[in-house]
Amino acid sequence: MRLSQKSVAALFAAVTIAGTGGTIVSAKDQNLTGAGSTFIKNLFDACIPEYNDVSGDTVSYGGGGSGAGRTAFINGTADFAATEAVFGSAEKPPADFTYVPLIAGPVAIAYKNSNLTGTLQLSPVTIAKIFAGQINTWNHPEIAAENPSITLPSNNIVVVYRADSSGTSTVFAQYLTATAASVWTKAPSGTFANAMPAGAPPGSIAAPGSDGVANKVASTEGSITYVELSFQKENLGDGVKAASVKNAAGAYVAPSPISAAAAVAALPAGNVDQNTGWIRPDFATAVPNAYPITALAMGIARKTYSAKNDSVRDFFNYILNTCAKAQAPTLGYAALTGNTLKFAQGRAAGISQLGNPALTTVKRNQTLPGASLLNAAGLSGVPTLRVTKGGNVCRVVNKTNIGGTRAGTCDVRVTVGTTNVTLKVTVTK
Amino acid sequence: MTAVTTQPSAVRPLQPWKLTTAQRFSRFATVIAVVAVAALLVLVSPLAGLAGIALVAIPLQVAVSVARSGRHGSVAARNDVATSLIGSAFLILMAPWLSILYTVVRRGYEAISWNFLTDDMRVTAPDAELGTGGIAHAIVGTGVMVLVATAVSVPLGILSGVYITEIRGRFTKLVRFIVQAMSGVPSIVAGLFIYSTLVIYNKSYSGFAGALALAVLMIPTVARTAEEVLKLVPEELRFAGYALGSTQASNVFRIVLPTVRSGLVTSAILGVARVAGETAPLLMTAQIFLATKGNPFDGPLASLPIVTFSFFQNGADNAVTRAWGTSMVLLVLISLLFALARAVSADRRRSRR
Amino acid sequence: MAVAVEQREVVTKKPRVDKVLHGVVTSGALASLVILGSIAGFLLYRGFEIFSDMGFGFITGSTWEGAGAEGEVTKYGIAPMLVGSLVLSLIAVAVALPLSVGTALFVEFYAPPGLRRVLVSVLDLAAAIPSVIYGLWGLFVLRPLAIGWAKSLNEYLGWFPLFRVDATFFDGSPFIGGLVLAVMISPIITSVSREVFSQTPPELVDGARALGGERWSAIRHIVLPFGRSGVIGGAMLGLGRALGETVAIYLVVSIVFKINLQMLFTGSGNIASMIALKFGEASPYEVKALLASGFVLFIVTLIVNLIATAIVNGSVRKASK
Repeated sequence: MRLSQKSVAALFAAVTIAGTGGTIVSAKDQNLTGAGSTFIKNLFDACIPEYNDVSGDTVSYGGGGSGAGRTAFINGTADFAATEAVFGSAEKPPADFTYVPLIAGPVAIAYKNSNLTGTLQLSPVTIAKIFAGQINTWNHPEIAAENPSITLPSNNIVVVYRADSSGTSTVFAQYLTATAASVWTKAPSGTFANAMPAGAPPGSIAAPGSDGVANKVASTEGSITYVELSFQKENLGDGVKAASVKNAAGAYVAPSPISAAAAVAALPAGNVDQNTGWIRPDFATAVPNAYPITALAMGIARKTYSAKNDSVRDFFNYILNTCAKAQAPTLGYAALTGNTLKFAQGRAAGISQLGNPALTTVKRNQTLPGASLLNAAGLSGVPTLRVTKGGNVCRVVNKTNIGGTRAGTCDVRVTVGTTNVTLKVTVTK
Repeated sequence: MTAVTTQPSAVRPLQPWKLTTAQRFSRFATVIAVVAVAALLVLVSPLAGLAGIALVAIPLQVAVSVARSGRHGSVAARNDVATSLIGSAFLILMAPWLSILYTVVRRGYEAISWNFLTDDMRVTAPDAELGTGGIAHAIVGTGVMVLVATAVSVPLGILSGVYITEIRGRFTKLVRFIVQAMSGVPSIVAGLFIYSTLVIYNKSYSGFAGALALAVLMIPTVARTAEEVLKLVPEELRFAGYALGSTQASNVFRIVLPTVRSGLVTSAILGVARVAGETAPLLMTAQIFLATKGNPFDGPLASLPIVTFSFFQNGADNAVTRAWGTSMVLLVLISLLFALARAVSADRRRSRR
Repeated sequence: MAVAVEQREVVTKKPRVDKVLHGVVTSGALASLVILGSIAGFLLYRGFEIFSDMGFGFITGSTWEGAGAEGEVTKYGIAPMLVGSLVLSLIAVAVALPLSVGTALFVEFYAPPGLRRVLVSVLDLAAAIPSVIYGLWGLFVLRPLAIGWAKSLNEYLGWFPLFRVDATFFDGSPFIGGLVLAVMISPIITSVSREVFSQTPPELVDGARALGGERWSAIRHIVLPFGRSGVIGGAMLGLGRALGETVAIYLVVSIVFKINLQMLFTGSGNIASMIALKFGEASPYEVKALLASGFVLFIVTLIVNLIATAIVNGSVRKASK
């Protein structure tokens, strides 16, 4: 009974893919474990209870950092993960994984200096020099040159960075490599200390987690760090401010959900990997009002069908279509919109499709669209269909669909180019 | 002064070091005066805070001690100085413990409500209004894991104790050595061990894995305490049993163990108190689960320390208050366990008499 | 007559039920042995590849790079964390030991009996406060104070080598981490010391009283010499706990992979906190390196613990004589 309910629900899910998606459909009581990015954790913290409430599932997100999430996903200890850094060469993810862009958000250059009134303006090279330890006082000429209207105090700059491996660190190091290559000579790494050109500058402080660096800055006069906007906002009361950063258009832009959304809306097509679903952030964005250090948090999920993966898809859809829109502005994220959102919805639709029985089940005298079979086979392109067994149960209709003639099962070979997959199609009364 | 000290010692020979009321008052007044002077000095100096006051007050108290008692000879002066220093050491150490209790209560009490103890966070965000949601999932999770850990470690621990005191076989020294060595296993190593074996193998975090990591840490505590209480059983009792023709088995089960039953209960409670607040190993083995759940084999399970940690990481004001509130619940639970252990062992002492 | 013979047989030949008892108890006791052996064996087995790949550099090196992918430079050396573990723990013991001994003496010899009972309970409880609470308290309450103390120490006593720093950055230093650890381990040292002091033969103390000695004389000449090795043992137990502490260090200390011997200067870390920091995102090869680090930590803690146990046992033996 339960099973059939499930498959009906899943079938409905498959139908909604074509539409707007986002409704929670499959039935429930799945316990999902997620791990990874701390960048997205505050969004998840807000969205998971809502999703649990409407869906009947129980999602738990342990955080731990992007690297931890990828490892947990590979080890199978997490049903889904979230990351800002792509799988590394030493990591062996399961073959059926897919990235799903979930949310964008600005990485703020947060600082605390009670004697500094006004908002600091920084160019990529200045930021790189500060974090590399080459600029170590607040009234350094290069900072002064960019901030002519501000009186700069003379105290030392204390660099605060993430002690744990973090996707935020990766994104920030990538940004510095992309925009200030002359200063930032070391390859990006999730462990920020390993990415600093001359190692950690003297007096710099390492702290674990976004909350850790934010708390350190809040309690350390003259300190500066890179952190998700929401953590900077939480510590605004303690005098933690965010600098405006110069983008490729030459404008100084403050981090905000709006300026991050502007950066995401203008993502070049070349930054999107159609194969895996990965989207590289565009640090060289030339949109005047776009904030350049805008990170994208990617969900990681599996395409193979299972009841749990169905729930993962529902959860991701809920984030993309419902929760992000409602929560992002207050939490300092930018919900995906436009083409990026469409792309993300498409990726989410691919979760839990491989071998999904709902995609290979058809009622007698009705037709099963070839697109479903393509999803179930994990292929893309224009399929050639052939019934290899049970020719009296089903037949090819219009070359692209399968029609059920009587209850039973048949084998259908789906061929795209030179690859083919044989699926078992069930025809019900 | 000399007359004063010799007189009461003649009247109450058993308490020669006891101070008279006058002495006590004068000492008390001296300390108050010293601290007050120190506080005044701190106000006008670059020093600040309690630490500054202590920094001035302690040498000042020592100097006053020397000046006051010096006229009775160097022995008296040294005694007085030692008293000042020992008292200071006590006060300095009490300060952080009291500060911890104060901090936990002051920052956490707002989170405490009936709802906080009976609801979970399945449908409540960490930074939602206080009074909604709760930590029942963590209380139940910690309870379940501690229970499983107890079920695994208490029998093993008691058997080790029985082996050392009753069987006294050729492994006695080895077993004692192992128990000692195990009590030094850093908790993170225990967690790493269970993670690399059970969690990776099962492809799932679980309350059971967490419980096993806790059990590894609990066995030595239980074994050592059990050995101590078993040693207290008088040999005469065992001899009496043998003299009546009993086997060693019935001796152990009918005489030795019942005699120290409450002591063994204490050993279990102390073991539980030792592990109830472990964070690092649970982070690697049990992770977090937002709904209240009692099944340790069905995926991740929440616990009080991990939930504290997770609230804290959210960073929002209400979440941090919840973190302190969770710490407060944890502290109260551990205190209750200790009170229970005390009550049980007091009971034992009474029944032995 | 016949009864007596039967009884003798019971004594010489163990009845089956006793054999069962022996079997059960022995296997239970040996289970602990198996668990510990398997932990050590497992850590060594998993870490062996690292020991053979890195050689002695694993102990002496101070870089942690790479994930073991092909064609990638992978270097693992735990020297900074090993040194950090020792520095942090030594600071902790140096601070906690005198205070704990003083407190133990106060509780045992100065406090009125009613207060003593309360204090003994407080000590037990303090020893069981979870390290996450010590860590949060250290981060929010002690750290700001300790930074101020470190500044003053450096300003006024900077000429003293121990308090020298190259640059005036004091946050997340070994000093602050050491203080948090000191607060954490002092209940253990105090408990053990008090236990040993309380075993001082009362005749000796009464003798001192009878001879007209002051309280301090009795403590100085009888209690302290009697309890010395016990106190040392307690300190070593505290050292063992400090070496293995994870969460408090993770929260309070700025974990930096660089050997730092200036105790007031930013940056330190210990092996346990390093494992917590790195294990989540570690590649399979890196996990082996972490397990190898765990093995090193395990051995160091074991040695400290064994020395402590030997010393405490020595003092107890002396006491029972």
